[in-house]
Amino acid sequence: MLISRAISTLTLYELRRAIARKRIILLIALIFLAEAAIYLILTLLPAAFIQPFKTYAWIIGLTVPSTILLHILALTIGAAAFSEEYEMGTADFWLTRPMTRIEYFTGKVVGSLAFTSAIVATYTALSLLLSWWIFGPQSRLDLLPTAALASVLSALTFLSIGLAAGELLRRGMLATILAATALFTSLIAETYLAFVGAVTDNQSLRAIAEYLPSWAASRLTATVISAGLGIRGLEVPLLAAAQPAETLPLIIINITLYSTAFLAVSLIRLAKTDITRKIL
Amino acid sequence: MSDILIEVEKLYKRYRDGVVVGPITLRTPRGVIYGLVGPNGSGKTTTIRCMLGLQRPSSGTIRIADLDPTSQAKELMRITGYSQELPSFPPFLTARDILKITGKLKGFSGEELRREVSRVLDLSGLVSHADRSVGGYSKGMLQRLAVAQAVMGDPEILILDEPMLGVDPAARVQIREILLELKRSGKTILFSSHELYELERVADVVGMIYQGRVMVEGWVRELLSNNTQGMVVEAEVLRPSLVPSSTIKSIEGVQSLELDGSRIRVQFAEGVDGRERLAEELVKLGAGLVGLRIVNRTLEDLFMEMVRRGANL
Repeated sequence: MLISRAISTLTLYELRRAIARKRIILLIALIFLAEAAIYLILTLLPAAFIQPFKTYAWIIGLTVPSTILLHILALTIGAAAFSEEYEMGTADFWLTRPMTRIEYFTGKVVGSLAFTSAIVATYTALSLLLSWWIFGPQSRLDLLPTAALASVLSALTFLSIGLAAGELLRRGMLATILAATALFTSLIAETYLAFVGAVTDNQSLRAIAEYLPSWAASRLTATVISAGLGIRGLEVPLLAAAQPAETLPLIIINITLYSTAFLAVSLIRLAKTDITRKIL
Repeated sequence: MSDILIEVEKLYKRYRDGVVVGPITLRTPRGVIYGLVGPNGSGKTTTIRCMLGLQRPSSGTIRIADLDPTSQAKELMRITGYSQELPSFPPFLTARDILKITGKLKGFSGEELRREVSRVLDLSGLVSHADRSVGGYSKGMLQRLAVAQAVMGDPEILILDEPMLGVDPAARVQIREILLELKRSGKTILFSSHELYELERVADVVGMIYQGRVMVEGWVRELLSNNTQGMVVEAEVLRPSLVPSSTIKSIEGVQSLELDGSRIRVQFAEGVDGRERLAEELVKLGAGLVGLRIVNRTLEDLFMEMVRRGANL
């Protein structure tokens, strides 16, 4: 009973803490602005071009943020979850309540994920509203919950990387920089490997790119929708931009492995080391 | 049930930068106020953090109510309240939020939780500020909130790290009264402080840490008793220049001598009452003896002796 109480208390606290942070609010505002911009720009396309796909316009509102913006938000949330408690001296407050370090860890992870899910749910609703308003009734909305869930899952990789960076460094800004560096390095490496692989027709270079954390995280949502539509992603221009992959299992394995590894690093560090005193 | 509630045995904490705290050995009997005193950096906070499981000892053992803080921190925190040195709370929460969180985690809910929050808000005098974000609190208010959340759920043990730090005289009196009231209700309180005068007023047992080691530990009334530590006598004279220190030091049993203007403070060896001899000598010297009195030792005297001894080690 008290185990779930500790985790639920921390989860609620984590939601409040995230909302209280200006950096997070700014990123959320950016995502919502991007959503609005995406649909405004779509209206500039020739009617003949958009006509065959306009009932799928809701897709773009989900896939575009999940290619990069969602991961920046996830790593920012993750990087601050533990580190800010050390910086503020409030880690002592939590860890001197009746709760184990594992409960503290679980509450933080669940809270961070719940907050990320709330943002995904909000921009999913926004994309549906905007697409309906601009392009009329939308089709295949049965895929929408799965697509939104896929977006949440895709955020797990960089949320975990952020959490691990925050727990290892115990400094919020440094952790955010480190996790963001990991994201951008991975994206650049992925693009470069894919480019060189295509030019040289070297399949192994493309295969290496598939092991990078950004490869799966940025493709999961588009791949799930593509699989749900039963057609190749490239046949739907709105989906092609998000580069859906051909193999969903490989994406899920990639996300599972990276998330598990980085969550394990955070948990071991938290469970086995001294709690750092407030940084004065 | 053991009479010793908090037992620290040969605790050592080694930091990566080479700083070593220890050996710390201390015993806190049940139902007392234990004052932990020592200069900055002496190891008080490290000892307290090890007691709470926030830091792991490099060696040695800690048992609090027969619980090991490292492996049984959750069980320990159900019966322990803690207030941290320079208290830190999430700045966007209100005092009421913080107390509710603490209460919930201690097993309170519903009406019972509401009553407990009201009780500790009353106790700490924070009722009128309860719904303000703590980010705007003064140091004194934060200290009062720290004590308030520590007493949530009426814990059996209270560990307070510098609870008087940065508080105004009114808050100090309030915190002192809270401590004494808790002691009267049978709680065991361990608190660290720089405020030797404050400690002397409330502590039953004191442990003095210097350079990472407990140098003195005992019941305050025994430590301050002249019978066990030797008598301190202060003489007031009109002509102090006529008093050569060598003459006073030659009196049997004199251990140390301090000259402060017209006052001469003499420490005699344990069991020696040298007042008569000292008076005779001062009269003989023609120093103009005005008065002679026994000076009660204070924790400050003890502390300074400890520092002097520590410096000679």
